[in-house]
Amino acid sequence: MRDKRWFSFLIPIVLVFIGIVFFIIHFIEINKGQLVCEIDSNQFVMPATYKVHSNNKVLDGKYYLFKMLLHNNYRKTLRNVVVKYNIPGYIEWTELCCIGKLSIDQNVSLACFPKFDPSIVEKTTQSVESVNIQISWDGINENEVIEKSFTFDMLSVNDFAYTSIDKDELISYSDMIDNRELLACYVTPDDPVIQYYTSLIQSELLKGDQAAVSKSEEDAVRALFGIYEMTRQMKMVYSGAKGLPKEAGDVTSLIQNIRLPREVVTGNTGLCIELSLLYSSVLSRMGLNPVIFLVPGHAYPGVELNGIYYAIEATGISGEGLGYVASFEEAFTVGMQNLEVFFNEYLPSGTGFILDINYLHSIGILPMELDDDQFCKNKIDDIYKNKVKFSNNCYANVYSTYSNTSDQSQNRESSNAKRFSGTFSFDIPTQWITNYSPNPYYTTLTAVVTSPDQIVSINVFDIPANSIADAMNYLYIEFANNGTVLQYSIQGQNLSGYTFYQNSSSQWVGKIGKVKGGYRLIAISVNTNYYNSYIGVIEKIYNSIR
Amino acid sequence: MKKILLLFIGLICLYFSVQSQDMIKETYNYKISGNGDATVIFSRTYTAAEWQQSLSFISNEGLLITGLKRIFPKYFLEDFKFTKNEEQRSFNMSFVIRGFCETDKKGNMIIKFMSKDADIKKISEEDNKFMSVETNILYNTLETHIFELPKNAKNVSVEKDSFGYPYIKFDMSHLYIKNYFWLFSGVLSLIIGSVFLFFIMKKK
Repeated sequence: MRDKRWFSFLIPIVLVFIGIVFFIIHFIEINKGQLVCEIDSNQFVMPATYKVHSNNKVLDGKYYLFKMLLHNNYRKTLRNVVVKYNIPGYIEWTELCCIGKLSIDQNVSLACFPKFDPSIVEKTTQSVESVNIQISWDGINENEVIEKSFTFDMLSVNDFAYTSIDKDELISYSDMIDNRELLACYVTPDDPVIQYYTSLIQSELLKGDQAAVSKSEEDAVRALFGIYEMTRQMKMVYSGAKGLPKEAGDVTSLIQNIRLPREVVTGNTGLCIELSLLYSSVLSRMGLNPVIFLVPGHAYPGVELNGIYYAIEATGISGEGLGYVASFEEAFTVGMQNLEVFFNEYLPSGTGFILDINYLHSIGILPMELDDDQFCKNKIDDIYKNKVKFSNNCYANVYSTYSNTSDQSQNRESSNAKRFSGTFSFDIPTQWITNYSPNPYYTTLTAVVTSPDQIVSINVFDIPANSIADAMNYLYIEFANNGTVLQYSIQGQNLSGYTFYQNSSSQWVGKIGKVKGGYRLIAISVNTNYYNSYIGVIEKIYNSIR
Repeated sequence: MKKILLLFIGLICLYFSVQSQDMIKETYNYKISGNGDATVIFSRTYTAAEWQQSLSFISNEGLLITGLKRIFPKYFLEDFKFTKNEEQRSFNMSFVIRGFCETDKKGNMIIKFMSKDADIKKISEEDNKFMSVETNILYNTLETHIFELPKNAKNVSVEKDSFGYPYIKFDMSHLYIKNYFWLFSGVLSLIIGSVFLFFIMKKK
């Protein structure tokens, strides 16, 4: 009996004891685990591109310093997780983020875009720097704070790494110069030294204290003339061999030492890419739209205006480039020949690239800020002032060779008119040629407006129809009757598509609108291989259709 | 009469055979999980012309993976799976973006959009699905992003930050039963033991 009574107490006591043990196990378990931290960092930072590194929106945040993945492997929620970092000598302890609640098994990824001080552009040597990271949260002991660090190469302001892609992962030539857009950071139109240099060109060679460029093609060529003549007459030296990577696998030249435009001017010497950056800085300062053409092993500058590109072989200034010192006329001719090869060979094969500097600046790839330097300006005075001679024939002759001459044909006109005729029309770019009723086999084709380089054409179709669908049917049949296949898609009044000829195809985009007697289709058409290169021109014309 | 009928049928067939091609369609389906990861299914449908021109690119899975990693440079991508459909002129690539959702100071999960013009529409009340569509007429592409939030996501809203960039915000409450197993078992055991003891003492 006593045993039974004792036994009846045993069970509840055991249950209570088990409950206490389970409590203890619970509190041990929830403190197990860890905050797992995975870091991926970029191997170097280029001081010249510091503005890009601080902007998480440029090129989809490609140029982070490091990215981090946090995974909460604890059996409890972490509150107020703070991630801080510093770069000794450059950036003090800075809070990267504060995560209010990091639940069990939750993942969070962060990317760091450090805001370097503009004085970083004074760095003239390479060094290895470290990044220190601290992670803490509410309730953590001091000795439990997570600390991580890694090192990276801080290059000098003159070092430009053409690619950040690991050597083993390079696939194409494009990968070899994957950082090419960052060259826009070296185009410095606001550099006081470049401003001074530009004003010298304008006053000494382009004539006039404020020889403003009026944004005509003639003035674009004139601007190229001014820069070329300045460098030629001052016997600027083309530094020769080192250029862009020549082919995929050419890993020896992936980091290049590049002089800043002000250094090219004061040192009176430059590589092809350095001369291109100088030209771009001055052209941008003049209010034009500079471009740089990149091909394997070489770069040359140009300007884009109204959809037309002009280019010059800037290295013709001394013997190393063309084998002789070229006149502006010769250098410009070579440049335009290079351009033809560029569009016919390099661009279609994916080894030629155009850097539109104004566009790159507009998307956040901004140039570095440089302080005024009286020493540099004095150097410029010593080298340049009162030593250049203006010749008023050179650029005029060259321009007339490349500009469009007027045609005596009745059906052609050099477009001085700004807008095409009709209620539904578009802006005609300057110097484009309009042909009315150019093809008797296409009765709906009212006119074709063609670019001077004959690559882009604006086709105006006036179609007798009662609806957009009927109009496009009509056109489709007309094309089919001429052995041409028309493919298109319609989005309201907007259309895009392809036209397939026997041996080629073109891509086009346009708008269709109701006019008297039917519908008018205005289609901007480019050979399929060149479409992407002319997207800027196409967009401008497209937006003017109304 | 027969001729008129045949002509009529011919015209009808011609009408429906008009070569109207769809744009190149890209779709990103993001299935957000409770831990902040996103399982993405990226699919692309080509026009006939583009399909022919892009065959070498489409057939190279490595190139596609590299391309996707470059579209999402700030994230950690893994678990790539690729399928191709020649008949539909399309392909699918699924992958996981770890830690896709950001977390704000209050612990809410956030999905940020990189474009100020992104027009985000809720497409399903029950499933917490949102969609954003971008048409680029110049490049002939139609890009659709569909976000499917977890079923137990609460306080879901679409807002704009101080710079005008839209984002989707939601709160995830988690109940990890297994993490409280010992606690619940201990409490249960204590309660049962206590109640049992109480009745025994009362009986005595």
